[in-house]
Amino acid sequence: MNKENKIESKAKSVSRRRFLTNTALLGGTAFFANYAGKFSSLETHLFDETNKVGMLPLTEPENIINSVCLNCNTQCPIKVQSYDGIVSKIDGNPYSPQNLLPHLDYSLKPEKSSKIYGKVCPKGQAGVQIEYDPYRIRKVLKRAGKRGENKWIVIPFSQAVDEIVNGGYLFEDVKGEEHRKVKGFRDVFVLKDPALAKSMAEDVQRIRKKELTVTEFKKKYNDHLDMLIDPEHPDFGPKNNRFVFQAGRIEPGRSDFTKRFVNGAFGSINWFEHTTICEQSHHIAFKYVSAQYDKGAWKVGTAHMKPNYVESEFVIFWGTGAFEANFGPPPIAEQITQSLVESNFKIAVIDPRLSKTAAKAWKWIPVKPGDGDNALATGMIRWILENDRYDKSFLSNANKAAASSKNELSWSNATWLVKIEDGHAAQFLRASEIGLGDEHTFVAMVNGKPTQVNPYSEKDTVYGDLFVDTEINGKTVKSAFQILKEAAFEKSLDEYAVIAGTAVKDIEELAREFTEHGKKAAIDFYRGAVKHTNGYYTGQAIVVLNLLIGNVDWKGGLSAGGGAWSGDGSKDGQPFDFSKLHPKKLTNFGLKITREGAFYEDSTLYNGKPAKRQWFPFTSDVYQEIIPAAYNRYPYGMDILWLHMATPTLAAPAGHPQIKMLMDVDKLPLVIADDIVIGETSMYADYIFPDISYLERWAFLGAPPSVITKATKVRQPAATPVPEIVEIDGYQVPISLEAMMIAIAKKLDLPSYGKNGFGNGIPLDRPEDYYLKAIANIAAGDKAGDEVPEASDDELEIFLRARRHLPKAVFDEERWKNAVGQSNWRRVVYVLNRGGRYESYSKAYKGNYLGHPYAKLFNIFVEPVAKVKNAMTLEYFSGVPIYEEIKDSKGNKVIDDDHRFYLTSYKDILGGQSRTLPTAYWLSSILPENTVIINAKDARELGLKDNDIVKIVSSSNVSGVWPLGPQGNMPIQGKLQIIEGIRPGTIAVSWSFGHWAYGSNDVIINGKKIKGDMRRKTGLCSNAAVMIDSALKDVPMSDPIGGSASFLDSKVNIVKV
Amino acid sequence: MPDQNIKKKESNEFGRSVFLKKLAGGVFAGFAIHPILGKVLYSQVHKSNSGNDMLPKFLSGKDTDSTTVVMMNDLQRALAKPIEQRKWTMLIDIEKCVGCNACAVACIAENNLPPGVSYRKVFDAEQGNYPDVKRFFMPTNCMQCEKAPCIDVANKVIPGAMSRRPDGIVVINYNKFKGKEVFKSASDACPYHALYYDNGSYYTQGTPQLEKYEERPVLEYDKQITREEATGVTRKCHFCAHRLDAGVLPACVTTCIGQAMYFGDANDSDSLVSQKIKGQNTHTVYADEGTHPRVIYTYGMKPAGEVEQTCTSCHE
Repeated sequence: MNKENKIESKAKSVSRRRFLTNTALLGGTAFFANYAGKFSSLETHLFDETNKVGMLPLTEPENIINSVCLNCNTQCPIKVQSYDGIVSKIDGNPYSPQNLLPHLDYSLKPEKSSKIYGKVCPKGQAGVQIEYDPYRIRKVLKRAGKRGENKWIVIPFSQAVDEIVNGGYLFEDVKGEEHRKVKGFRDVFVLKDPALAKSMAEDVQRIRKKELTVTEFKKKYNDHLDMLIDPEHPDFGPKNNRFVFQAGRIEPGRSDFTKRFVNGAFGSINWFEHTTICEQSHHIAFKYVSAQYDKGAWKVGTAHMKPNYVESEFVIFWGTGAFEANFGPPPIAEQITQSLVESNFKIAVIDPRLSKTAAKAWKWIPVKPGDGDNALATGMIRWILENDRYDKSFLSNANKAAASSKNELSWSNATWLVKIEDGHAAQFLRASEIGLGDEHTFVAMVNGKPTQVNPYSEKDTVYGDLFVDTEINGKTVKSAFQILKEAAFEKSLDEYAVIAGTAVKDIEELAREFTEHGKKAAIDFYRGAVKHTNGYYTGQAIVVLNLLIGNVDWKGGLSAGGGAWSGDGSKDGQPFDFSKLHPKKLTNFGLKITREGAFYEDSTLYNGKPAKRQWFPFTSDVYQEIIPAAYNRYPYGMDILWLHMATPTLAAPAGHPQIKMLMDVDKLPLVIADDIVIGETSMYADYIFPDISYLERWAFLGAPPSVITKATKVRQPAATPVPEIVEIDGYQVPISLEAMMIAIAKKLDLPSYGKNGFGNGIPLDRPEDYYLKAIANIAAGDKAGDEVPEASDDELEIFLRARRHLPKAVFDEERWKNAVGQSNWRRVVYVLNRGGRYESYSKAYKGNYLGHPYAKLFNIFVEPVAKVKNAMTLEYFSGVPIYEEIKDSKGNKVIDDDHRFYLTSYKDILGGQSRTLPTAYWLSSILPENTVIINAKDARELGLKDNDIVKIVSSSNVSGVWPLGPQGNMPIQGKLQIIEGIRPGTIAVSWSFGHWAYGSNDVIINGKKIKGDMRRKTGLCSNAAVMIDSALKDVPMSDPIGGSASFLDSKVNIVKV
Repeated sequence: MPDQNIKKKESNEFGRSVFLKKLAGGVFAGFAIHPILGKVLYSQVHKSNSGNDMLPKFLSGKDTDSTTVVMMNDLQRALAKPIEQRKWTMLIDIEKCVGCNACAVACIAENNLPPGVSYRKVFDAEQGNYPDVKRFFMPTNCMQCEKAPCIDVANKVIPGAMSRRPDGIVVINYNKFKGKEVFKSASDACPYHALYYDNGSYYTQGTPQLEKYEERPVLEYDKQITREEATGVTRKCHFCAHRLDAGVLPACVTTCIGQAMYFGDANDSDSLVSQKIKGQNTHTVYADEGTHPRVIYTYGMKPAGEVEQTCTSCHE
């Protein structure tokens, strides 16, 4: 093969010509991303001219930074490869257990690992286009017209900070707002004294426990009542709570950084992430079923467990899959495909749609949406109990000692006795009540004899009777297992099958197969099962199904994951204990605006009557309720809303009423957002600050439980930031979420920022001052001897060379070293070179068990939930999973016979929920638009054809439109796609499309129109068709225990346009 | 063309097109799942042959390597041989393909492909009637045919437009193979629709900013190629020759999340790809066209009859 001579690149003139054409459109304002210069030719990149087997610039260690993707919440570690300082290719990081099976040895040097590629999904591969999105903003935008008019002006960062901190007549140039005085952060930052805050917080707790009256509280704090939101309701907390931080996608690292500001420095309780529009009921079910009992209190356990897929014989994917979403395709897919081909392994998939995972299933159960999942799960429990196909040995172990004696690591409370009072099973019988022991131990029957159970005893084995229904000392008691059975037997299997929309035979076959493999079977469930009003109970039922076969902690069974090294510095020997690095930390207290984590009956609002809006004692981050709560001023209103990477108008089901709320300047006086584009919700803000992308910033986080070895992932700057570099207090940093908080904190003279931000003369001036310390903790490990090696000289050299393209505002060796100290620096470099810290695959198992077992108590009966009443219906919740119809917030059954189809949604692997598509053109070239998917039989009956344009309408959205405000109404419409692989009576619409901002619409900046890209305007988002709660009228229906917004209970019609 | 029995649809959810074939009587014969062998340890399947210290053995407790590392070791051995002794071969297991398109996007990113050029495609086909429905995923790219019809056709129009490397990779001469006419002739001759015409456009043109990554030069057929030089050229998959020559696997192979891709030297009986071909029933698409593709397919460990029936239900 002839070697070509060096080619004089003519690219320079061509690219410059095209570049100039485009800046003319901008009118030279350059508030969008702006690059200059051309690429150097490949010849300058270590290309060996004499030998055609040359090097590949992208695989050179000095062109690689290992970081973490964020195009979905699997957050895969990635190998970010740059050419001439431009991120050009992204692949999986081979050190990561999520991206190579098995992953590389952690000690392998970067120059050896640079050519080894891990896997990553198409979204990860398209990260280059997310990073270099032409619509990314780089300067602060302030609205020039009314909210939602898409008119903006560019203002300097320092001016923007000044305005939002000091407030004032910020919008006097806007018609109707000439005399509107806006409160800034300074006005809301009322309670500043840590001692006072602590004292008030403690006394509010006493009010809740009825140990102190409101009158007594008011008397004690007579001089400070003006600091409270409402002195008649001290439990609302201080006025500081009227600052609300609402994060859409946020992750550990950033959540720590922002909580430090919101909770600890500013003293507001209102920090939120998006979990209830994601999967929250799944987490709450797991947390309570895996809760532990400690000195009279239940402490929630783990939010998430997953099958040990690769060692399993049978896995059921319930409302989720292995190849499209979940946590996530890179770690899970290969385990499934490998096992399908090479082992005695099969899967079943429960999903109304023949998903990609269902395509490889032994059995596809197209369950009916709505209450179908709940009925199916309860029906399976019934069949298993009726046919005696549960693990009696596992379930009769009442405590740790019994479990150990049977070679089990975990055990359950199946045999513990529950008191039945007034027909309600609310609490476990305590040993003290029948003279068998103290008040923190329980009772089980052992061959009919009441016996004390100490759950954690390692020597007193108790093997309890499973089915107990009797009286002791006049108290009616039943075993948890008995109560479970009675609940499951409420209906016949035939009845469950009808509700689930399946045949009885299918339930039997599924349950039989599930109980055929000993402990080498497991159920993986996610949103499909739980985004219903009964989502918690369905989730609990499915976790219980796993317990029925006793699969927790076993190879091929259920895993709580491999754990992570913590970055918070709480372990011995870790250099930076963040809990001790917060001078004058405020105790945030009061009631979160969503009434989450609080009991209605303990509040000063309780009047014996049903609450006006729902209370969510067991859950958190009730995202769909945040803005509506403020709008309704229940419990109180908002002064400042900060949206971070958040788009509730698009992402929340039935979130469209929030558009009108956001446009209301009286109810929401100041709305600021940080975003990388002008997004569907940030477009309604008063100020949009540009944020750095995931390739430009920091994080430190553990892995999902699909990873069974210990892992901590580290995200670090890999790309030159797009937002402009500004100066804060003499320090140059790119504009970002972190820069905003630091700037605001400094303007408010908050004691935990600046020169002495961490105390003891340790400064917090720049983001890396914070994040690098966490990484130093991770590098030090959890105990002496657990530290990583120090990076060698050549590793350090690679580290420095790989960051040569980063501006000084982001990377400076001396500064980074000072952030962690000389003694920690080289270990930090070692971790950063590998993009995290990853335990060897050899630690995945210990004999027949998982290497990192949960090894604790599991709850068939959940006492803390059983003790509480629904705040809006005043009815007790259940301690065991039950069948429950779909209900609105007032407890009324939801029946909609006027609408034919259940509306379902799903995520194609090409798209994130509201980002990635259609922004990334590589992805949209494969999937330019989404569709309304319908079964062929339904289409025939309605006379509809492929590609017909159809609109979706529901009882809550009769006209089938998104009410966008000044931008007009956008119909919920798209192309019809007819397939066989979906349940009749169901339609499906994927995420990622239906944008009305995000570069799809025209905006005016500094008086000049920036045209949107029509390629981004394709498809539809079905959320505006989701049914609005008939009682509350401005939010979707919700699961009162788990807090999940209902996505999958709505009925709709489709109308040909 | 052997696709007259396939009803081709334009459909977006399933990639480029959805093929539906109604079998006689509308009844679909289900596949039986054959239990295999019990649980097979990775080490029995993926014995690593690394003797080269550039890729040391990665001890993982089970003495196993990932499929990627095994194939990289295979690559090292192949590169130690003269080029004419290497026979690059790609085996795709459609049981393991999960239809994600990571390969398609990785290829676009690796080779900085412009709009309209996408060397790798993944088809998504549905079969049957509710509730007895099957769904298959079918990745495809240039097959580097031993008897490539495109080469003869292209060279008739423009001499020297195409050639074949001794290791099997079919080469396009970017200086010569320019123009729409020759593209059409060659493309029509290719049974696998593997050729693409580069019309010189950019993804970010017409937006506020032409992004710099689009101008990144790439290595193809041993040459540095800029966007301008590629304009008007016919392009196709080249098995990431630039990576192979440097000891790195093709981009589609390394990013495959289902681990459906096997790649290596078919002349090396110890290579994983050779072992897989030997151990499974394979299918060559449109074998009777006589192209002798170097990309072959398999379907898990299913018996030959089942493999043939599945494959030919779309491709007769």
